[in-house]
Amino acid sequence: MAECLLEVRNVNKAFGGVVTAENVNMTVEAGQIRGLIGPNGAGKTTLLNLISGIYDVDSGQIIFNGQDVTKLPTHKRARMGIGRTFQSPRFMNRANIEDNLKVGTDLLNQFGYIQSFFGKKGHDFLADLNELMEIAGFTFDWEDQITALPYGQQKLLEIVRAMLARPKVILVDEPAAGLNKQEQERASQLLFKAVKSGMGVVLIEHSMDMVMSICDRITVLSFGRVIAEGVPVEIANNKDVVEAYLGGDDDA
Amino acid sequence: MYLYIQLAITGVSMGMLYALMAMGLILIVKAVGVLNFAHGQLFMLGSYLTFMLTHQWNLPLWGVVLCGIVVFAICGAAYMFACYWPLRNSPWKVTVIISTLGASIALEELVRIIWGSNPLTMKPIVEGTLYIGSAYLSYQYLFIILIGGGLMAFVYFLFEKSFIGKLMQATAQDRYAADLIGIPTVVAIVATYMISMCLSGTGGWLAGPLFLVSQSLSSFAQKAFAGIVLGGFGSVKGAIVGCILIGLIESFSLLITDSYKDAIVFLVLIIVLVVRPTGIFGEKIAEKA
Amino acid sequence: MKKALALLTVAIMMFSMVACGSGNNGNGGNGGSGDGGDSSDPIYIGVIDAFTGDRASNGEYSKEGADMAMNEINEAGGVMGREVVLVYEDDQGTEAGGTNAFQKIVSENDLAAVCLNKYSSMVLAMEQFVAAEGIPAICCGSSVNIESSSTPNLFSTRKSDSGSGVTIANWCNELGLTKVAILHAPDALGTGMTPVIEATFEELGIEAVSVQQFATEEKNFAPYIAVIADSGCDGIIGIAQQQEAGLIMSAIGEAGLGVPCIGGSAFAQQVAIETSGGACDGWYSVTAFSPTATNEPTASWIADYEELYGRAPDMTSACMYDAVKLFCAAMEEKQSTEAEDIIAWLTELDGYEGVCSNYTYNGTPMLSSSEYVVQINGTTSEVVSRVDS
Repeated sequence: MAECLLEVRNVNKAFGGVVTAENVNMTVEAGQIRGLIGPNGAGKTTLLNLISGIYDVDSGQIIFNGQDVTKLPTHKRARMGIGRTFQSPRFMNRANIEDNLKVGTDLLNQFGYIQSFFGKKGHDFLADLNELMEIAGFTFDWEDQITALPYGQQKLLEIVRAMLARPKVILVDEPAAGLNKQEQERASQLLFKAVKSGMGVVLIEHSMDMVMSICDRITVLSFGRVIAEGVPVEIANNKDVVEAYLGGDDDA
Repeated sequence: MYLYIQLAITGVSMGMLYALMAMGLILIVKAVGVLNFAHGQLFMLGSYLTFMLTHQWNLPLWGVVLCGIVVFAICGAAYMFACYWPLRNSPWKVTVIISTLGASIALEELVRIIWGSNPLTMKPIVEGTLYIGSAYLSYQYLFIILIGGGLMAFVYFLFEKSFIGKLMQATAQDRYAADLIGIPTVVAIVATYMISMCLSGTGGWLAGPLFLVSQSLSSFAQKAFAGIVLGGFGSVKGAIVGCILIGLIESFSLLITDSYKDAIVFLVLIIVLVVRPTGIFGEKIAEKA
Repeated sequence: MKKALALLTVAIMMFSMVACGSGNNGNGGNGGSGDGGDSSDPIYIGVIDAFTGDRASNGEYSKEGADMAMNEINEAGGVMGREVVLVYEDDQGTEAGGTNAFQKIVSENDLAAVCLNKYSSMVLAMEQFVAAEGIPAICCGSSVNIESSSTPNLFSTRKSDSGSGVTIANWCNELGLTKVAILHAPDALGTGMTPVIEATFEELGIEAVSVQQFATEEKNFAPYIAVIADSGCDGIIGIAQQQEAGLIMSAIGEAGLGVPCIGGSAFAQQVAIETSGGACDGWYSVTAFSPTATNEPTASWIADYEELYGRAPDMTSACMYDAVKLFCAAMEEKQSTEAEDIIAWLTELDGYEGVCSNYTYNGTPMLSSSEYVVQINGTTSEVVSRVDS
């Protein structure tokens, strides 16, 4: 049994009258890709935000790496090792690639503020980067503006950036959206690389191809409640799940 | 001839004062996306605080500088936590603006309660006047240009070249994402406010000996704002250039008219905006992803 | 919890609005009557001046002078045996603030009379409301427009700028100046006095080589002085309020022009002298009041004031003191608080000795007809000449 990196325990969250999470339980183990699926509005992104700390839980706990982080602010959780990517890449649009990558890594953790002031690069930074870019399958110029990269490459680069910080868990929000088949394959490869290095991954995705092929376990949310949990085969055959999706789910 | 030299130097000098305020204002706009309506009052507060350090605590120059930085930093942080922090997650941006409006009134009257309503005199850094032909300049004007320039260089180095500056820029461009990457955004925002207060406060320190330490110093913010708009809203470089231009226009417009000086400044502003709405170095304002 | 906090905040706001609502000085006399009422009720006199904003220092001096008068009168038994109470209202130093303050104070209180401040622009802004209300009003403004006002219930403790302007021009002539530069304020004071000076110059054969009007709330006078320096003048006239007077004297001092300088009344006041940083030395000023006057009863009054408040009085302190005293004298002698009686008494004034000036009614609202030319020596001013018209 692999180490449990992240546990969401009986978490509840409501915004006014709208319940976005009701008694949600979920675990992520080291080396595991946990899929998080459900119809639109089920509360998947909200759950990621609760784990990241953007929202405070109404009740329940978030346990990360054995520690209760429910009350910690966002950036502290990030520094402890919760990485994050977004549906649309959120880079510093006015900066070049070099700045974007350096800001997103764990320099602060390694060196503290003073040395970071002078922009010292981590010893494994370049090696890691080269390895990941091989998998991502494209090259770039340090000095290029981040906005010069095509959309697909930006999304892949965001995953790379998250991984460069050597987190323990990465929360990945719809990596396949807007990517062609090749790029989706590359994204999957990057996530495999992540879990092979012992990270855990929470993957929100609508593309069932990707979900079924790479996830180890899947949690299904509907209207804020977990309606199913298990390995992909179990989920695919689960009546409740099929019903929740109203019979259609292949909308990659 | 010497008249022109004199008008030019006072113009650049005034422009530097406006630019110091403008830089502080732009930093806050970039960090939290809200216009700070109490900025003129922070400039005025800086003047009163340095008056306190020089004339009430009687510190030597180096003492004033060191204590000044500390005092300004504390004020900047206090201001941030009072006016912005409690409202940072409000769904309406306008609440923070109203909060700064309230702060502007409160600060002016606070200053009046502590130091009285009579204007106070402050000694310049170096007393004396420089004579170039028939042009005469108080040394203070030259100090304004020197110190102002130095601070600008420092801010440039900080934001463009240093890692801490990159963190602050990341926070300014996307606070949400910056948090999620692990940047302690509250630190970045506090640091921005501290630097902003140091800039404006230093401007107040430099202006005090020339214009008397009084509540009406807060009206300098109007020209600073005009400079920001002229140079291109959102750009620090533009703010500096715009403000110096405003200072020069103000100074030289005296050759054409006396009482309509301010009107000329704003007339030029209108013309520039009609021709080039984004200002001289304008960038597009929409920048959120 | 949040709701409770919100309710508490609203409650505090409402409480503070009510508490501040009725003027600065105790009760607003909402139940009392100023105009002929119960003989044991207090008599209310309104005072409108700047207590916040840029001109707040003026309000401080005014209050000191007015309070001093009120206390003296009450200690001597009041007016007709009734206590005199001053009701203060803040005009924030702006024209709009002034008209609002006037409307508020007359609608909330039963006033026998009202004292207005010395900023002529503000007084003129309030004039139509003062006329409509019919309440006796004494201001401390000196504008020519106040002099030519036909409002029968408006008076001033000052001499008109037209008179002072002539005095300034004549003094230039006394000093033997032939090419004079004028720098004046954009308000009623500056725009009213300057044409008078220029007209008198024409008669005297003096040339006004440079006439500049500075911008409202101007702080940076160096450019204006540079233009003056360039004009080749042999004398400078400055017309401004106290806030700017000090800065002007300081800027001229820095230029080291070494020519005689003459200023309006504000230049001899304490605020201007203190903020000029020593540059006031040698300046002449044409003023109704000087804080170092040596004639009686002014000198004794100044000494009493300094003992009471720990600082020298400003002209506005003396004017307000006289205004309150004039109203009280009117009511006492006429044994009435009716507006028409007070106004009648004021129009019969002949040689009433105040601390700021000697008051006589000459057919215009301006009750004062004397002023001084003083020269500032260090930080005190010495009377050089007295001018009566």
